[in-house]
Amino acid sequence: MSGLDARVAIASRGVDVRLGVATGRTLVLLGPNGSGKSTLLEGIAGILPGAVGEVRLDGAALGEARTRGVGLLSQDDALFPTMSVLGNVAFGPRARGAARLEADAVARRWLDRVGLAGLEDRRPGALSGGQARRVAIARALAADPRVLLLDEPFAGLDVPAASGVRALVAELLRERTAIIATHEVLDAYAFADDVAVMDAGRVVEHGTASEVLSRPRTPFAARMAARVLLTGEMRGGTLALGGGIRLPVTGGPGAGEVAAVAVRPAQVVVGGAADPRLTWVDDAVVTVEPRGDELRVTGRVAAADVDVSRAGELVVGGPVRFGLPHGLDAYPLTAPEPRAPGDGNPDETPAS
Amino acid sequence: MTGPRWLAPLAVLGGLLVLLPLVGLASRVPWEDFWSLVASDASLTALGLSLRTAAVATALVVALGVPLGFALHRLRGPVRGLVRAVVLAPLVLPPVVGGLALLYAFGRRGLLGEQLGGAIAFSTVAVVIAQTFVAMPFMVVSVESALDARSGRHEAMAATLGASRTRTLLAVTLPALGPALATGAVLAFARALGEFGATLTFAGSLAGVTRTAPLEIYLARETDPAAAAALSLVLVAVAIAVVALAYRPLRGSR
Amino acid sequence: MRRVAGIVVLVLLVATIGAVLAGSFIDRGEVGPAHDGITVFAAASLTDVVEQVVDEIHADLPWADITVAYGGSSDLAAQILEGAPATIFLSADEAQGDAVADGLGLDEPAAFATNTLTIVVPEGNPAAVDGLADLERGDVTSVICAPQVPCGAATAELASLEGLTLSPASDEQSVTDVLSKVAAGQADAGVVYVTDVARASGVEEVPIAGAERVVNTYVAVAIPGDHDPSLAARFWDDLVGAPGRAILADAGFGLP
Repeated sequence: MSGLDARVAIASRGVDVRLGVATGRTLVLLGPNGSGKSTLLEGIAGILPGAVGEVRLDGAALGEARTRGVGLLSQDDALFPTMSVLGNVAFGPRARGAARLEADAVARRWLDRVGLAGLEDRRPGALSGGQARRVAIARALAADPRVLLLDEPFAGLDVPAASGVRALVAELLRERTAIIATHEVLDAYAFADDVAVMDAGRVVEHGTASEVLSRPRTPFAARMAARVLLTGEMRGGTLALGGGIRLPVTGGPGAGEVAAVAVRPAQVVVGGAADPRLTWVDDAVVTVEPRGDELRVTGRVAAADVDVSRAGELVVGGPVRFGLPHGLDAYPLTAPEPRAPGDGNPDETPAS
Repeated sequence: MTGPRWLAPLAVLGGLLVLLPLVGLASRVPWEDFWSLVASDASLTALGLSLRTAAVATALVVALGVPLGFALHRLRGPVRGLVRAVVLAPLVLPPVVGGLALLYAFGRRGLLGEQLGGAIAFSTVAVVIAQTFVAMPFMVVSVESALDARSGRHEAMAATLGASRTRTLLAVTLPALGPALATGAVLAFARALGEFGATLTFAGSLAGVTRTAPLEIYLARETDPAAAAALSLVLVAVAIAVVALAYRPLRGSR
Repeated sequence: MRRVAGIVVLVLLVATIGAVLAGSFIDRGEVGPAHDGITVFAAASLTDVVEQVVDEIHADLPWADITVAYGGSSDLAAQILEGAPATIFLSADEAQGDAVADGLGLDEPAAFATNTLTIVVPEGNPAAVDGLADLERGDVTSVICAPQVPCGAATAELASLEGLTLSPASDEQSVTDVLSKVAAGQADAGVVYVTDVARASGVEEVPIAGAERVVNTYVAVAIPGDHDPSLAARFWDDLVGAPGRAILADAGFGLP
């Protein structure tokens, strides 16, 4: 297969993952903090001591880190503090055998592309967070990697810096093989060709972006995709949710089969007057959390985003009625385990 | 942080214990003859030899102590504690014991054999070996603890950028160890400069060849206590200057 | 809190002062005003002789309190002049004996033994050293005492009498340093006193013809002080008198 195919396992951190990304595509690795994303990326880059597994690029097994051609943009930037900005960016080309002048020229070109021309002589300690991230990006790309791994590339930056870096990454990743690890579903919508969802050291879903984001198979993946998963049985154009509630849907498998819809909380109404265009579910409030000028009300079954002005109505443990829209896209939920595209034998034992 | 007040009198006692001997030494120096004593042929020869040998020993300490620090850093488990204790032994060994040990290793009847041992005996090389032996632990400890404080993150990044281990060492790790290397080197230099017991036991004492400043002081004491005191004061001044220099960069980097 | 702190300081100060005073008593060997022993400061080369004399006194007087401190003559002289409580000073060097006698305003020191130089070589004499002239040979690594110390001054004097220019590999600080370098095989030959060879192991003696031209004289100085006068007199007589002469001769010393 053309592209990256990685199997990384490290028992001490509870990570055991098989993951692939095809040449030229961007995979967004979506997972909460602590789910093992950084560990996985370090394993793919070959800098994780004690990791077992195998990383193949275009079918060929990769050796030690320095020969992999896998660039890593780490969360902490890890710029070399004893070198100038130019020295940092020129490091990769120099390491690959370029003469000093040539390497400096490459570095200047990259600094120019990330918008930092003029800062060549600064020390990393004298850079702002956004500037340091840009230098780290330039440094990773100046080494001309075949695959680029970005670990939370927008974390720890203030809003203007983060949006600037987002724009830069969007431009630089075009046509590149890349994996972006993030906990923000926004990044998945913005950058992903493919999405993998990671939970507690395992990839729980893996597919194309539209598949995973709009048709998640597990409540966890749905949450990472900022949706609520409603599962039930198909009954003649409706999804039977239990408790006698039947939600009219579009598509879906034949009658009697297990299916799901993934509804966005923004589409759900908290009632209110009984609107016949919606299906009403009586639920109890589990959490209420502010999100900007809205509130996310999460119940046992569904969730909804409502205006902050309605905070007084919603008490944790108290009753709530969710109004679910009709005509959501239903999809079969048969496979017991999510399968990644091109996934091999999941029971294979790690090579030591 | 300020401690309780009763620490103060003890601190004064401790300070006096350090200060009084230095004052005592200074009180025995005939100041009107100070320069002529220090600038005497014997003193200058010994000081020159001391500075030269200590400089060479420091270079050796860097060349050998840094790799040893890296090796120690790589070790894990109880072996590391054991190896560290052995490597650091010269730091706490009585100097005469160090001298005897060197004698049995590098002497004419030592482990290296007659040929090599004979060439080393009573030569300036023997002085340098003795000084390197006693001074190296400073560098090893310094490098080891500096490496322990590093996460290895920069080295890992260097690897993903395609750097060989050698390039990573030279371009990333060693520059970052700069302050630790400087501290180790300066302390090693000071220790080499002050080395006495092992040199006396192992290298002998010949003017211009093996008689370093501390040996000259020891000998001058027999006949010319004033010269001994004057030269001692010079070494004290060098020691204080060197230590003051060594601790500044470390504090600055924290 | 204040009071506790005050007590802590007081206790520490008392402990410190107590330790200082106790230390000074122990150092001086003064247990009380009525001290009934003697303290002998002896040149290290006299170790065996003094031990024998002490043993013989102890055979008669098992409880006799004799403290002996051994060291280099110049160190011992310096300590006595700084106030160390010696009863008898046995110096390997006339000059140091004179320095103590002059410094404390005492009688002339009494000469009681002599010593001459000899060549010491490692067992088997690997460099086949036959006399002082061999020390000039380029293939002989020799060590002698530095001219600043008495054994070195004597060596230099003998060499000049012989018309030799010695080029040692090392000018050692003391006879002990010379002996240890030869015994270890670092040096092929050294120049020390006859009695030093008798005490050393792992070495052989190569006598120097005409060594008697440079004689080192051992002197004794009696120092008045707070001690047992009869025991002091007994020790003096046993070392400087007839019994001592036999022991000294046995140990290789010459007699004046």
